[in-house]
Amino acid sequence: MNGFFANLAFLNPTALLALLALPALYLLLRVTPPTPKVVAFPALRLLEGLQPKQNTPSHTPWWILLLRMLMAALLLLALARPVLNPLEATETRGDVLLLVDNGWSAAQNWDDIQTAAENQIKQAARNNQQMRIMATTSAEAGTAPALPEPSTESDALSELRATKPHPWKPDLESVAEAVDAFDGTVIWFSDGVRHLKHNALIDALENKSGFAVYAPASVDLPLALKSDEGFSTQPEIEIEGPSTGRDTPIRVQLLGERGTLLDEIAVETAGESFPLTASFDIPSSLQNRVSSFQISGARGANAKYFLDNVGGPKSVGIVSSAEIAQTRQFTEDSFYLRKALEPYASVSQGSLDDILAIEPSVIILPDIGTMPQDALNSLSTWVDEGGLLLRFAGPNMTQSNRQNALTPLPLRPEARNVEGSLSWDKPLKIEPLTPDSPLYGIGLDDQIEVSGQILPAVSADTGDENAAQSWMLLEDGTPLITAKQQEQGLLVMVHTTASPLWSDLALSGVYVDMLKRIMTFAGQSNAINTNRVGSLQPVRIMDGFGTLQSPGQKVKPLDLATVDEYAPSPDHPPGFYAAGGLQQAFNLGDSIPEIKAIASESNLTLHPYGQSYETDLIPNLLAAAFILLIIDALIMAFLSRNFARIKIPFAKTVSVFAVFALLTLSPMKAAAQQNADASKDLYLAYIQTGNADIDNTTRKGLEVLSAALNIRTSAEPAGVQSVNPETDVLAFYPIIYWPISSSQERPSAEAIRNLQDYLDHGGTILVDTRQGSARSEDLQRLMGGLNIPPLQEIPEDHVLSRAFYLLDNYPGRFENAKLWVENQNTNDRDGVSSVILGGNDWAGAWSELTVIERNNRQYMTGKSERHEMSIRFGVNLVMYALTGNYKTDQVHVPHILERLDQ
Amino acid sequence: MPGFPNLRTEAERTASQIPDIKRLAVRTAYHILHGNNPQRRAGSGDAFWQFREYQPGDMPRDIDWRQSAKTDRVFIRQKEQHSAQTCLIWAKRNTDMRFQSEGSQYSKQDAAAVIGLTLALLHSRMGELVGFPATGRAGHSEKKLQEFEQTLMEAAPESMPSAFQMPKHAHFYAISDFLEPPAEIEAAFSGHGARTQNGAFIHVLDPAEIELPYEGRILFEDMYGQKSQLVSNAVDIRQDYAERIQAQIDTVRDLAMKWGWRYVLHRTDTPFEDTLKTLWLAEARI
Repeated sequence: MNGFFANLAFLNPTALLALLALPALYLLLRVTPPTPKVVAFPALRLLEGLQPKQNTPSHTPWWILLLRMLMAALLLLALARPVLNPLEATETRGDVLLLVDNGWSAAQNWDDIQTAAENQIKQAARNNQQMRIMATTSAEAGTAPALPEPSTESDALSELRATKPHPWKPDLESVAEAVDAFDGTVIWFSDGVRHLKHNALIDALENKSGFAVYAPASVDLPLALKSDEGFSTQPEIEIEGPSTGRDTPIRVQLLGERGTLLDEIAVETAGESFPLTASFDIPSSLQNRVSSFQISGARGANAKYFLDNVGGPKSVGIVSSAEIAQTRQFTEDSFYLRKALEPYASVSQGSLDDILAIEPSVIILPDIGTMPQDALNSLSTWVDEGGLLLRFAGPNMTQSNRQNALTPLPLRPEARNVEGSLSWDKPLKIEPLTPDSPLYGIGLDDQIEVSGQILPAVSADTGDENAAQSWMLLEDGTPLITAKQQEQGLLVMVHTTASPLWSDLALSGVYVDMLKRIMTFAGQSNAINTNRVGSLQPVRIMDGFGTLQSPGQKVKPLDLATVDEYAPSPDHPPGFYAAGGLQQAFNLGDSIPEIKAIASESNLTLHPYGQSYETDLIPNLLAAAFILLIIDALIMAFLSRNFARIKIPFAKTVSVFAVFALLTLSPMKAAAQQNADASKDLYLAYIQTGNADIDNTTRKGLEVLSAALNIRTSAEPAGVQSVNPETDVLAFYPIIYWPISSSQERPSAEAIRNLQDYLDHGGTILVDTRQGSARSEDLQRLMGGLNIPPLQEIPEDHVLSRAFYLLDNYPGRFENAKLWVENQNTNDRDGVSSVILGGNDWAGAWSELTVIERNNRQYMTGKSERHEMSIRFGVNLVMYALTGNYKTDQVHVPHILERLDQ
Repeated sequence: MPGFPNLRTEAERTASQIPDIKRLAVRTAYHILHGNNPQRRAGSGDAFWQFREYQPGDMPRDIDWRQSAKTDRVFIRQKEQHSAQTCLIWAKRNTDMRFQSEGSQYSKQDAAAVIGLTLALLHSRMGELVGFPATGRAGHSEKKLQEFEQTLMEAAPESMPSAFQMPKHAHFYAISDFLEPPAEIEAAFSGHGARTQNGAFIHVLDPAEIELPYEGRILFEDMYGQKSQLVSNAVDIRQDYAERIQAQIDTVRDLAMKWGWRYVLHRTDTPFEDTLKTLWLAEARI
């Protein structure tokens, strides 16, 4: 309520003084009885002296007084021209230049900036001022903001709407030059963040005849996520922000692949100073799925932080006996490998035959010298077909009967032991990686020492592409990791042990990074040869709002050698850049040293942005007064009819109305109780959007559908339930209808988890964008946190088209939106897609039908062919959700064949 | 006049509803009351009145030779003075008469005008002279009827007929709502009551004035907006009012009876024909 009144302003406040006259009005009304009806009557003489015997009150009843006082007060308030969220537009004279900030920091408050600029444009147009509009950030490399030509109102507006924030810095120096060249008033719609050359612009502004600066409130200033060094186990991210007062916690989300929400924590800001650190504590099984961080509720590339992509999940098979591994844990190679890989891949362990049977993408042979010949052959075939074989050296490989097959280079028969009692060498360190190594980019630890090694018999890198390569060398130039392509596959040899027996490698983080990197080459062994020297090519880049997109032509690659020196620019927007299997995230936050508010240092007068659009309250007040007037008139009509008789019933009526109004105002209380019967019967469910209109339509539609099912099929839903994914148990419902509405708030983490759980355990959600198209911005907003399997356009022979009726298309209120379902091959849910996505507004079509009951039988009325088809889709849908692929069998085959013949 | 494109048409229609033959029969049978009306004095009629001695100045052709021969004086034969009977129709035409409640079809003035004109037509067809009191001579020409019609529709402030000379035995119809105090009514008509027995009161009242159908809090005003009375609940006084209006009706009827006049109550929501038939048949019965 406070917030409501805080945004209330009166454009004509003097009218409020008239409210003081209300007591006088009260007295006046109190003594004036209700106006009698005037009747001209010739026989007046005969009426003289006739008076009713009953006494009637001479005063107006208090509640009529109250009503009329309220009416008068409303009218007076309306005269005072109240507005919610009054417009902020600065009065200017002469030519006006609008500077619109659209650097990375503008995305957070972009709507405010645009609205304010729009208002200013409209005002300038009203005042017949010449206006120019200029964005402070150049969209393309090589161009700088320059003073634009004057434009008309519509041009300025369309230019403003075409302006988008960019995920790099504004060019304030050029802007300052343009401002210098301009003569008139300058209005700067700033994003509130101090950028380079800020002072130059302020100086230029202060030389102008008039200027105004808008800036967001300090709590609305953008925050940035950055990470100077990576994290080892638990995810951690730094939050950079302006130093000025913010006392609400910042919610940071941890996302997995495809935007799945893994965790969300609140970072307290009260009394703290930036940078803050957000530390997550998540189960280790989730740790390998972390792919990005984002600040909840924030917009812009600065509020997202992506981690380097390790490629999709891999399955790794370690050839080792599980029993041995258990008994000799800390000396066993497979123990270290499992510990290192488990967070990032599904690891299985067993004999070679077992491993080959599950067809992993990577097979690791730790310290295995000899293998049966047939096992060797099948392993070789597996490598030829694209497998990645990773071998570790070890004592077993020094056996005399070892085989040289399936290694990148022939090996010497004996181990090189540099730390033995007979050796005078010191343990060797690892040589820094060269850019041409596929492992380039891994942060090496100079503490690592290698004391044992099996050397190859010949040297690597003969220049031949098919020859073996050295990926990592020791300081004396001997190879530590070698690799060689074999047909489609790849052989990688680590010339030391997977356990700490011969080196510290297995005890360091390098071990994990190295394994992760090597795993990225699984299935794409060619990647090791492609273009890894020069540069990282853009793969996906971020726009100003932090949305990943395909890169345009103008985006240039990053040079690998100097990759850490780049700052985001039109040439190099933040995003993902890749070379071969190495996909590197280029984050905006890392190039933001600190965020300073312009308010903190300059003594500028900053105008705040309006929170939202101005709302004129006059129509509402007048409407309310008018309704009161009608009520008053009705009361008077009742009263003049029979005052005494109506008095008591009226009081009752009022109380009944009041109770009714209270009930309608608090429907949530009634709806909050979870139904206990949902588990006993079949209920159709829909997700509450919070928009009463849509919810009612959906409920009505589902009720019609449920009636149709009862009439036509043996599926007999007992009713319709609205569900709130945050609080309700969803497991009872075979299908949930989700109408997408812009008024629905983004589901909370709890709701997302609940929905995800529902989907993962056999639930089906029909998502309806209700717009005649499956695309919807709200869709991304509402369902962004859900891990939804890849969808495909519904195939013609999908079981949904014949679960009950034979359907060609799936119309609702619209007909043409495509229907998207999960790819049937990829799921094991009896062929039922967990998500069905469309936009035909089926519930809308269903709700247009009426179910009438006659002689205890239900009928549907008001049908057109489209309605019938939409109901048929609904029937099919429920049947599909209930029976799965049951109908994919032969039931309809004769008919289908018959049709095909025709 | 709303609802009345043509008063004359309406009146003609009403008049045509009454069978001419029957009327003629009534007229013939009671000619002393209707039609050729003997003046009971010597005149230019056909019927014998008296013999009188010839005096200088008498027309020689009037000498009744047979009678003169009986004696030695000369007699002239005097015939009864014949003159068509006069029918005077007066209607109250002030603002009171404009009253028309929701339930009624016509205002009282309209109703009065239709009734008055119908009577005028009927009487003029009988050859009588029809006129509005104190507005020049009565006649039965078309022109006179038009004048009469005009007069009926004009507004006039008085609530009672002003003094006029009532021909003896003339037909006289007073059409009014008779809402004035009975004393006033008696004073205005008592002189005429002595002059003729062929008078009639036609009491035109709006149903609202009889039943007082109003409910709730009502400010009653007179038709001039000068006097008013606030009634907090009209329903409660309905009974009392009904007694009063009935008393008024009875008083007016008694007055009529006193002079041997006829009395008819016409409600503006009932057809004119009924009222006129009652009037006419009552006349026939005399």
